[in-house]
Amino acid sequence: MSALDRAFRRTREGDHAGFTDWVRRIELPLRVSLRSFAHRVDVEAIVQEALLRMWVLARTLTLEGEDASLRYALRLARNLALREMERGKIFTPMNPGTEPRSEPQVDPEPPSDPSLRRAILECLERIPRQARAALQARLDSGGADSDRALAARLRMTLNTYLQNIVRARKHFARCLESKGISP
Amino acid sequence: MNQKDRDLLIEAAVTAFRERDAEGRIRFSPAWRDLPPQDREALFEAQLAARRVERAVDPEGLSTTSRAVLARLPWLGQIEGNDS
Repeated sequence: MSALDRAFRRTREGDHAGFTDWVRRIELPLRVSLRSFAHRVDVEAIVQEALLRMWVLARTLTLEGEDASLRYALRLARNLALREMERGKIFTPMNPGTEPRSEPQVDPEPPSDPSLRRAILECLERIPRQARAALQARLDSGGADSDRALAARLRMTLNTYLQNIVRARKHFARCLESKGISP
Repeated sequence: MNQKDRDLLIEAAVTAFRERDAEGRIRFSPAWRDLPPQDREALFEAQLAARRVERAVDPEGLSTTSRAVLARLPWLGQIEGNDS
């Protein structure tokens, strides 16, 4: 049984820690599987909705085979994306080269790399103060607060706040590149 | 749209914060709606890069997307409780 399967088994039992582990492993492959929908749906919204639905559905699902929860989540997210396209009457023809296949092949997320983590932390430290404060506020908020609220907390206008984050990301990307890491 | 406005709009949609409707359904980002299709692909890449950074600095290896989802579980519990 894979680590993903173990995490999902705990999720089925209603275990929050198990679901946390499952979400940590599945978010990246789930997001990547939606790449071909990116200009038709808000992928961030679809990823969050799919993960929440997996928590609600987990207890009722009987899945078989290794990493079956990953395959189920990918199908669920794809169906949500298609439904949103239909709802929004988004009938733009798909580029045949990017047409999503019925079963996207995505591996569960690989383990984190400590040297990459170190480089990222070093580069975050090197971002100029105001810009770093804006980016840090986003990180600390964990998606719970709007940018408008975060900007107000930092006594910035929304526009200044966003400009600071853009500036922070440019500094950060240059720093990573200087370390030979693709941003 | 000039490059600066484009960068700001993309950044405004990179956040994991999403508003919800009265039934708790996640709404699409207004910034995403304002982006032309070709820039939505740039947004996708920007979100991938941002989530990688978030996972790297988070003590539990979670992105802000994951944090936003996990923060909804108590709310879902209330809904399920009300349904039963």
